[in-house]
Amino acid sequence: MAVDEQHPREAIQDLVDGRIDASTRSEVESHLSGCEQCRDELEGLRWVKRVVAERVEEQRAPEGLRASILTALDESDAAAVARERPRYRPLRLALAFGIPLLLIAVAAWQYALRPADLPSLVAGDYGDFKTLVVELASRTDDGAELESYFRRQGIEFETRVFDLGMMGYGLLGGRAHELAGDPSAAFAYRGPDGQYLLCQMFRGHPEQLPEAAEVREHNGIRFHIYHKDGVTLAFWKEGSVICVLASDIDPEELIQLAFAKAMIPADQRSEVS
Amino acid sequence: MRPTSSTDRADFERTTLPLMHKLYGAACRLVGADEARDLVQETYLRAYRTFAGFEAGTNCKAWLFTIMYSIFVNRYRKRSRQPTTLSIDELEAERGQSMPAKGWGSHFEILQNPALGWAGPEVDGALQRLPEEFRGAILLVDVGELTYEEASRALDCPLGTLRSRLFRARKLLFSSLQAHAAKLGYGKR
Repeated sequence: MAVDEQHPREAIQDLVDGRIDASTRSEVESHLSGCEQCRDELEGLRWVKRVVAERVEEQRAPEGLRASILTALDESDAAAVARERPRYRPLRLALAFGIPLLLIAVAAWQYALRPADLPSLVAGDYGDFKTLVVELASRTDDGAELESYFRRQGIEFETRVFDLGMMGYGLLGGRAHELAGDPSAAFAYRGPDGQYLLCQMFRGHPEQLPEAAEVREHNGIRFHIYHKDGVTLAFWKEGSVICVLASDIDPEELIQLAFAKAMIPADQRSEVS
Repeated sequence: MRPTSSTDRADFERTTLPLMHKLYGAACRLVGADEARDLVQETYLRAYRTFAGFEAGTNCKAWLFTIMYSIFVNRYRKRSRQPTTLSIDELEAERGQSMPAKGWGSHFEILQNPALGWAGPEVDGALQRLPEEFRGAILLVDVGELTYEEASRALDCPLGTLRSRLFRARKLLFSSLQAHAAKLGYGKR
């Protein structure tokens, strides 16, 4: 795109999008008062923005979409409740509402007992964190400070925030998160070319994981590798904690990062992971 | 991360459901009408799951658009049909690089002619011809009202790239609509 240095094109677009400070606005307006070309450009950009927004926003969703959404939310609530109280909820519902509801409750109970698909959940979290759907609650590049934050947030296991500086990854911060209903410590890194990397730690066992696309061993540690929606995930066990690294970088690079940072806790060095 | 009380659920519905039509409108431009319904429903489910992370009083529309675009990128982009195989450079060449470096004004007057109205399929057609990442920039900023910073994260591109995509996309849209107006006999090119 050719840029005419004499005309403040960037500032004009900022003006269109309402992201200009008072002093710059004053300068641009001064230029606009004497430049017909820029005034036209400003109005043209404003017109396109308005016409597109109006055209998209005037569309109505089909009838029934609202009801479908509410039904999906109901099902989500039912599944969440069933996960929290799977042992006695079916019986209570059956006593209160009879056999038909008992059958429904049993189905919900069975649904709740199915193993959570942890790789899919972490891959979803990766997308949520990367696009800021979920914000990092603590922004710091200091690993010790982040570990302290996790303790203050009630994370009951020892977290180990990796130093990936040697690999060019800077710590962005973290969040006391939740994975399949259990607390997790989530922290994120940014690579030298803007790559995003998410790590999560939570109490668990490798038996909770579904069959992996690949299982590798390195330094006595077993890594369970998954690929979900373009995201590679490497899970491994450190004591009572499961660690996972997730990213959409080259899968082998992600696996090598996991190999580099995984370790067996000192008190379990004699055990086979 | 999931709302656990009826109050949370009511709050979620009150906050997000009024935006359903806008989300659907944008979803149609991302994946087409056939899959837009599923994309919007999935967006609401993901939003519900992460509602605890949403800060009340902030831009809910931008938050929902961010979620929807994230799902689009992860689930739909690979299989969504691309309505155009032309790159942005090819599209610009097709429209003529000089337009509208000079001449926004004269074209602008033509485009504002009330007889044109722009209620037909022309705006959609012009939008659909844009490469997806340029269309995404327009939908996120102009419809979803994301800030440049939010949109650049959602699109996973630097701020400068986002800024450039927006300008080029708007310029191309303007040019496409102007060409349509000219075809109908409004003004001369």
